[in-house]
Amino acid sequence: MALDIPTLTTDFYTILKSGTAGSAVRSALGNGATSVIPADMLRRYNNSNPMPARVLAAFRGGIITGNGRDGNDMFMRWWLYDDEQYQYNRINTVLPLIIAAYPESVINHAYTKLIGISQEAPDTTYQLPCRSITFVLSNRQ
Amino acid sequence: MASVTTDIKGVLAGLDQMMKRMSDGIDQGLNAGANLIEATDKETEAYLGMSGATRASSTAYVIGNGKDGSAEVSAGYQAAEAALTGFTGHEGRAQKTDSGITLQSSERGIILTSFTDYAQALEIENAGAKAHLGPSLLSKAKVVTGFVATSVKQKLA
Repeated sequence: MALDIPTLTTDFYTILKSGTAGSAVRSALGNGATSVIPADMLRRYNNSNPMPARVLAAFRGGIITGNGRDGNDMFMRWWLYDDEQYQYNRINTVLPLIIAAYPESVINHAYTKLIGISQEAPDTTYQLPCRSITFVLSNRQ
Repeated sequence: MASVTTDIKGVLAGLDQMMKRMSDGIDQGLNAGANLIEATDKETEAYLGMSGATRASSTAYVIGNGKDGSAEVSAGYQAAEAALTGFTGHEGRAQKTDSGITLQSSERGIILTSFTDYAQALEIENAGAKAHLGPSLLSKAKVVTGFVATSVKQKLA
């Protein structure tokens, strides 16, 4: 089948936002599904429109590589944020829950595989501890 | 009872030569891969840049098998320094720090980096909105694997 970018992206995001496989992750976040957001929403928050409760999971779709014949790889990344007083302690307990939410066959028509987890380093825009976890969805046509 | 003596020195010498050719092929493929990855990152549209220091200092180099990238690191750092000299748009500075990567004796790899003290922030801020090093590396990873395989095959032919 042709590469269905919107469906694969939505399916990946929905797992944490509302899917059964992501329920343990939502339980560990600051305010359940409300704390699962698209990454570009981070820019919208301010004093009058505060950021959802941390730990917060922000999704950003990454690059797509390959050609249709030999398959495509779609890179997907979750960014976890927490309040400064917790440093990376709570983020580090959520990461294994996210890994467990994405077994290889969780998404139709693609193999899901963990690529890696970034080092502990703050997001200087918001001065919050953050770590990212990257997956690849490999699609074969 | 008759006995048979087999001299395997020739076989061992042949295996040594094969291993050397494979090693040369790997180096050749990785060098080509590093050039491709560096060119990819220098053309990235993930960020615009202000001083040009990040783009100018973007460097991909091979490590392992006796290579430590010291010459490439020096050149990359100098490129960042040159771009930031006299620039007053922000307070960023050229920087080089140990990668912290330690390879096993048999391992080789490619490092992609840039030499400013705000390079890490660029990869992280706003949930990686301007991240470019990871995407540049990932976008060419399979191609580089192909380079290595082809080079090894050519060396063994």
